[in-house]
Amino acid sequence: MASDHPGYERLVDELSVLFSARAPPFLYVHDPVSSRTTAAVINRVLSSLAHSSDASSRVTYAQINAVACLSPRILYDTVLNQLVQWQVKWEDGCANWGGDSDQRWNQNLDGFLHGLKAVHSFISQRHAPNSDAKGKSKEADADVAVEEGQIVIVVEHAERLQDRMPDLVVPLTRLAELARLDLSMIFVSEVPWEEIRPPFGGSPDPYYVDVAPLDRPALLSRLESVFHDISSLPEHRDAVTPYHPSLRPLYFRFLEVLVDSCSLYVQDASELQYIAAARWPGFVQPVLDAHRHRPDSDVDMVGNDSYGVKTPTEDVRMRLIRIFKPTFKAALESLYPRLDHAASWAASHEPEANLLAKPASETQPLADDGEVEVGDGRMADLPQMSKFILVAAYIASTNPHTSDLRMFGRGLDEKKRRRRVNRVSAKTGPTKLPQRVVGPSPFPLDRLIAILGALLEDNDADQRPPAPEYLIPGEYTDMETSRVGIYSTIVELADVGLLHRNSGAEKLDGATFKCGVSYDTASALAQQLDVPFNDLLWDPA
Amino acid sequence: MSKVDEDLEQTVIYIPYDGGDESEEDIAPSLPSPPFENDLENGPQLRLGAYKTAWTRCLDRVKFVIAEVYSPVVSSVLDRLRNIHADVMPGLPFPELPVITVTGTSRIIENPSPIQVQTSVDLSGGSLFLDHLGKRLDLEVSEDGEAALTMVNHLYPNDCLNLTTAMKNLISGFIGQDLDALKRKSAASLAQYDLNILQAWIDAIEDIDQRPSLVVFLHEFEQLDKNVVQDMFYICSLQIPRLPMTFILSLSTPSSSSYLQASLTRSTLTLLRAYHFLVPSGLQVLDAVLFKTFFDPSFEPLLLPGPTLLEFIQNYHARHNPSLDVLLTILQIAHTKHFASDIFSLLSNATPRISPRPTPAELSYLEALLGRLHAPGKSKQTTSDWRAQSHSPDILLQAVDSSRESFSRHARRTKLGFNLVRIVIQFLSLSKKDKLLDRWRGAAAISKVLDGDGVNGLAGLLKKLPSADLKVLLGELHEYLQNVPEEIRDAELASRNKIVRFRSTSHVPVDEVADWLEGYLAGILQPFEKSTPLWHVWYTGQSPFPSELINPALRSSIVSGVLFPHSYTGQETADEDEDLQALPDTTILFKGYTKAGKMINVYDWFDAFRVVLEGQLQSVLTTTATPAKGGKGKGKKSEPEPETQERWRLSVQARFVRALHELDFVGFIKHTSRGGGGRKGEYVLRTVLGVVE
Repeated sequence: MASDHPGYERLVDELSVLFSARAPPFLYVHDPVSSRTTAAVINRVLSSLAHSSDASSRVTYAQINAVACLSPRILYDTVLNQLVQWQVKWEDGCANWGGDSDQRWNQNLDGFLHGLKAVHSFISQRHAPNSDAKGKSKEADADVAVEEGQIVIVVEHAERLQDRMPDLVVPLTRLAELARLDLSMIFVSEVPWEEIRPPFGGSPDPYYVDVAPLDRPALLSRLESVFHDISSLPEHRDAVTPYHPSLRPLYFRFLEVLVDSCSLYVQDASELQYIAAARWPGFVQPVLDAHRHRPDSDVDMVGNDSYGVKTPTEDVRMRLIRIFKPTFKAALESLYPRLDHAASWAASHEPEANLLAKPASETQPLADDGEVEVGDGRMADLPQMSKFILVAAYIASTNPHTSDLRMFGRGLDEKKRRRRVNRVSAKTGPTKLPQRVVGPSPFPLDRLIAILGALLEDNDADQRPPAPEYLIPGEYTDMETSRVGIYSTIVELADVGLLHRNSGAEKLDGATFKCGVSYDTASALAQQLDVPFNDLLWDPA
Repeated sequence: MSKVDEDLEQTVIYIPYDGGDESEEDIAPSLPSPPFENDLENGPQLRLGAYKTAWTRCLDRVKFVIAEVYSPVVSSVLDRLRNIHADVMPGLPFPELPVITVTGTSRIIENPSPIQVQTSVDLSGGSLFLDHLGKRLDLEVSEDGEAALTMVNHLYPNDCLNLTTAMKNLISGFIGQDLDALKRKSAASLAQYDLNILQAWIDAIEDIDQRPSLVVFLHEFEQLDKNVVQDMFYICSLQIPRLPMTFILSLSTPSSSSYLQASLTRSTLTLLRAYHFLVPSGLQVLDAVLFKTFFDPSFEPLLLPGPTLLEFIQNYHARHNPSLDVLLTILQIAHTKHFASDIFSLLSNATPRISPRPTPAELSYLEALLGRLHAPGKSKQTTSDWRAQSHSPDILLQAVDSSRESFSRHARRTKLGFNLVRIVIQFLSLSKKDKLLDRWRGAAAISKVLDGDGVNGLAGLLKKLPSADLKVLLGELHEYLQNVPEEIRDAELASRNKIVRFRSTSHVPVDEVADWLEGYLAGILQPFEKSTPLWHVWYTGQSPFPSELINPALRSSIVSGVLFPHSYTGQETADEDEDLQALPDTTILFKGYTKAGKMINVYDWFDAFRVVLEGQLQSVLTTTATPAKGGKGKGKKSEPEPETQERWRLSVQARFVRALHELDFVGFIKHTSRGGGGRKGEYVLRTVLGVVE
């Protein structure tokens, strides 16, 4: 069985050994890399145990997800229904399994324990109807329990129990004692037990199982088994698809290179699998093209294509790998953080058609498209006032507030008298990082409005519609910055994350914000507005 | 009260003012507009009716145009949606939850209640794009008949305050009424927020039909609690192979993908397969809406916006808020203002019947109308008309009908001219970038052609074109003229023939064509003001838009309201510098506020207030022997007794406290804390500084 789960042999062996006798009442499986895969493996192991021919090691199990069980009630329902393999039916009002007496078990923990008991007797009846018929008395229950195997409950994402139903952690870890059943609870989590252990020793110490990250051969064989699974589907066996069985050797070589170039950064097999799935169709495309455009002589009399794809030669493999290797890292860089999803990435990185038909000298390795740009989207479409606010916010977040008067203050003669930054030569002591590197600092709303007013007065006054009613210099700007539109725009920008609220959303008085755009974005916006951006920064780049 | 009880879930409840005990006869709603001179008795009602007709026509057209603009994106979203579950890449480690983001739906807060979105007549406030998408989806559902292949559920931020309610709403949105059937056995069955219910429900219909795909709209995605959303995504993604769900997120951020990156954790992102769609927006959409609504010869709105209004719309769009919701609001306000301010606006769509024997009010209205029709300085020929019209109301009203007719004829031709200019400008801006072209770019600029120097200079630009290009341009103009409604096409027969003749020549005479085109356009583009003396019924002209209504400056208007209460409320004031004593208490107190420093000593403030009030009292006592009005000045006698003096002092104190509280409510005052520098609340802080009187 262990060979079915490459990389997880130790886990599989350990579980099999544990469950061949009585497993400990509480196990903690810790996998920091990919708990989802681990949980899937455990599920497979338990399911094969549940159907094993050896009655003594047979188990009855339920596997739940702590995220999906958003309340204790769902948890109780899910566990009990799964244990007795009860299918909820819409026709009978989604009723839960109620045992013989049609009771409800989901009210509280006590009900749940009774439910577990009922499940237990239900299972023992099912497993040993004959022994019951023979009239085995109750005192023999313990023996029967051994025969019919354990009840196992697996909880995925167990760390979420902590914040979702903290009262339930201790009872769940002690479920075997509380229900007085032969029961084993398995927690699967990405966090170590120490992090979520309830205080005051409420829970017993678990039996620890740690899952180590997969090594290269294990990764390779896991990834390859996926190809095997897909290619054995009927639609891939006879058609010309990327998952044709005869392409398997090529796939293996592809994986080797892929794992070599990516496993340094990503250990999670499912992430590598994701990248492989996105890259493989493009990688194999030239081979399939060549197959489709092969000389007619290869096609048999009926024009039948059933000969299938030939395994490409070593020469072709080398060539493909040379061409595609640079794109593997590009795929990692945009797919691992999910800047793009696999299907769309694959579509946008398709190689040109009939790549192999070209002479080898003309096919250059595909360029790594370098840094993945997270586009600014439609920043340029923002209304002018939002742009001004964002530029003002960037200035407020990077300039020290003591510099405002020097940067924006003006003399009586109504001329700009901005004093330039006098950059003092480096002082002794620890080097001070420029604010741009440190990150945005919070600023009060009033300061933002004041800087906005200064910006508008200097850069926007000429473009405004004329308003002869304002006589005092600066009055027009003052009116503009105190308009409702400005405040609602600030709130909107904070909602869409271009400004960050530093104080709570409910706080009306003295709200503070942080700038949420980068230097590049802010300077691009300033350029669109014709604002001399670098002159306004206290510590320009 | 029962009405209020039903709405307890609402965040805001409107309790209509029922008049109290004093004025029960005034309960019937009355139109608050100030009475006009020469108005008809039922003038306000008639104008309201005319407004409704005009605004409905305009709104329907705008909606139609917007639907047209949106339809390509809506279709592509629907296409995506159709095969979103079939179109899965093989070999992925886990099935992904498909998510469609729609960006730029609406920048203003959307309508929070789903019921209101469905029932509201106008769209302002709702997210237009999602509305269209939802409608198209609904349409598809109904077209498919009994096999409902797509089911739609809308979730708003208020539906997703925590995970339990979010899941419950998610499920009940699909199952709907059927959920009630479950409630009977609720104790023994699955919880209502358990996704397995939805699974069981889907499984149950699966026996009968094809599996429907479930679409969930998450409105105002930015407002949703991200923890709730992430858990919801996680739970749904676990079931995705068996439960075909798709989430459509409505975002208003400029960049949807980076917003998702920033707001969701990577572990959630790995569950999703996100497709991003952009809703068309920006100046092009605005121009399309304005042109097709107001400048389309085949459509006749009842109110044409003048260049001032159009300029305001464009300016507001570019500077403050580019949302179409705001455009609708502005248009609606413009309509309201137009129909509320001119007594003749009720003539816009239909002429009311006036009996041969008019009442005095009708008579004065007709006289005013006659005066408007025949402005002084007209030719002799109109005097005979005047004589006829002044004798019979019927003839006068016929003249109104004919001016309506002539305005619409004029408008049709001018609009044709606008469109031709637009075609020329678009063509010219394709070939080269010239600063001169900016004079005519956009709806407002083109409408300005009418007054000002028109299309002068266009010929100069056209002359720079090569002959072949000019031929293409002529082709475009000809094609446009071919497609306009028949009546206009017939009217422009001569120019069409001319264009055909120019095109048929092998080498287009550039100079001749350019001059002809400029002359032709200048001939078509006649100011609306020239069409009929009653033009202002259908055209806003140069009247400014009340921008304070849409983007008010609150602080300054409050300050000016407190400082100059009489002029603020529109009361006539006799003299420039009002006597301080004649002002309300709050203003008297606020005048002291403006003269104080950063902090105000409350006792000094009170003293100053008292001095003013005593002066008020003295002036009342000296000027009039009659009792002071309002019961404010209690001490009427010239020699106050100690008892009355005591009462007077108390009343001054009460008035001070009352005025102080009023300023406090408005937010002018910040109280110092008890520990604040040992001042123990004797001082208050000013919150508004630099008030200029």
